[in-house]
Amino acid sequence: MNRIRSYPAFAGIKYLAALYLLLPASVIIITFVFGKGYPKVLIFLLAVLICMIHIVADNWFLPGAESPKSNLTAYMKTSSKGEHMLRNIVMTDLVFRFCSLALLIWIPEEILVYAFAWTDKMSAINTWNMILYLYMAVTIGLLITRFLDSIWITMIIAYLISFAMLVAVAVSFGNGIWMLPVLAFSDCILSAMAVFFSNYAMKRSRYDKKD
Amino acid sequence: MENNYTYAIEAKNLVKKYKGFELNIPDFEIPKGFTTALIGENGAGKTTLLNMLAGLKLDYKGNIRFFDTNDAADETVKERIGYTGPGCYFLPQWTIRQVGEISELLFDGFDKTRYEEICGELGITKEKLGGKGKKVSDLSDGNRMKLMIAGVLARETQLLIMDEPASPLDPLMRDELCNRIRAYIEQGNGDKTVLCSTHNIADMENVTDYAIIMEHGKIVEEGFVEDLKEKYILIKGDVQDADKIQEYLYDCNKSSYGFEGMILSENLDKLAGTDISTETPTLSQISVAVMRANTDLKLKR
Repeated sequence: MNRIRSYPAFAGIKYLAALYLLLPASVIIITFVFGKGYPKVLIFLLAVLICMIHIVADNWFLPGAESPKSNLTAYMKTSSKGEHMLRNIVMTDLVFRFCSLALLIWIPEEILVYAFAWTDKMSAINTWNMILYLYMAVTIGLLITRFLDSIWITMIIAYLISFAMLVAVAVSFGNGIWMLPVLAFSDCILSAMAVFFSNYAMKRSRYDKKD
Repeated sequence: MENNYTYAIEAKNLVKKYKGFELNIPDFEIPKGFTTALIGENGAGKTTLLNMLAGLKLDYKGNIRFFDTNDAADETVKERIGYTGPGCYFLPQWTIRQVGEISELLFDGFDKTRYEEICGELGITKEKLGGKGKKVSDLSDGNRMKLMIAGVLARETQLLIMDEPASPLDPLMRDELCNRIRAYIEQGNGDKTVLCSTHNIADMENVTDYAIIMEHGKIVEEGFVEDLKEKYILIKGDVQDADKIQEYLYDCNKSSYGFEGMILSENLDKLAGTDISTETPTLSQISVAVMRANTDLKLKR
């Protein structure tokens, strides 16, 4: 029960509302407003927007958590449950993010099909391709930005990673199903790294620099 | 004072090195059931020592035991220890309510109702702070310290380790902090202990039972306050007498009106023939005298 409670308690209303209420609502509204003209372009641009927002929103969750100077986990270090709780929180966040990213790509596609009679919908392989690339970009973005303690650098990195993701998706469009397990495996490795580095940062902070 | 107490903390051969600084304490004991003040100038090693005791730093040599039986590595120890740091250790985006929710998940003995009561008593509720959720980043240093104090007092603990708790507090809150420390000790019936570091012992003197004075990473003096007040005597006299008894003075402040100095009680008989008056010093005066005698700083007298 504590694992379920610890994520919303730690994340806070602002972070959860931004990622899981405001962002989906904005994506749906944008789809309805702009979906009629260039649906495929819209999906790609939404992917870029979603990626940037997910990375920047981490500023309300674990900003600079892996930075050597971070005091972020100081309170959690005073509890014997601190490391375990941090690991749970990071893992739960990644699971929620993945589900959210998948829905944020799938729902606009369905809206475009049913509301605007989009006939050139992406194949399931390409959709999953995009979702897995999106998750990879977000996770890489979090891994990098959690080492930094600056919202401005976070925004720049979010911008660069989002467009790198766009290029990667565009280049790999039309690849066969073989790409999916490669992406899924890479995403699993990146997720494990995100959990590892967040706990490593807490453990490292217990040791000062040697003379 | 009879030697019939046990120790909340016992540590042997504590050594931790930084560039240009070494903490080296062969024996460290905190008596159970009392409030101990850890006193020292800036850079003496107080925070370093408290971080080691609270488990925030693990890169030290030596052995620490808590509550007579528990090794410092025993995870159950942390549940019985409440720690407040010199700076706020909550995330800046957390709200006061969030701090309570997260504390409830981190500590089994945390009482959220009690936490809210203490926040109300200390004036750190959103109503008293101007509405809205009040994030930690919106609070002043003093209110952040009050939040940390509320967090530890709402837990069932046996030992409070507090690093400079009085520093950011206003005089009224310092007095309130002393009252709460006193109440915590009394509630424990001899089982609860407080160890707090302080720059300004004058604020904590009326609640301090035992004092440890540190300099350059070493303990230079320690003892129960009553014993220290018997060990040291404050003397006052004419300036010409100061020169005669300089060698016995632990510390001395001279002015055109006379001198004031600290002397060990055992040397009082050596002042025979001088026109001096004696007083029982305060803990603050003893601390300053001991720190002056051990400091590297070139201070004006």
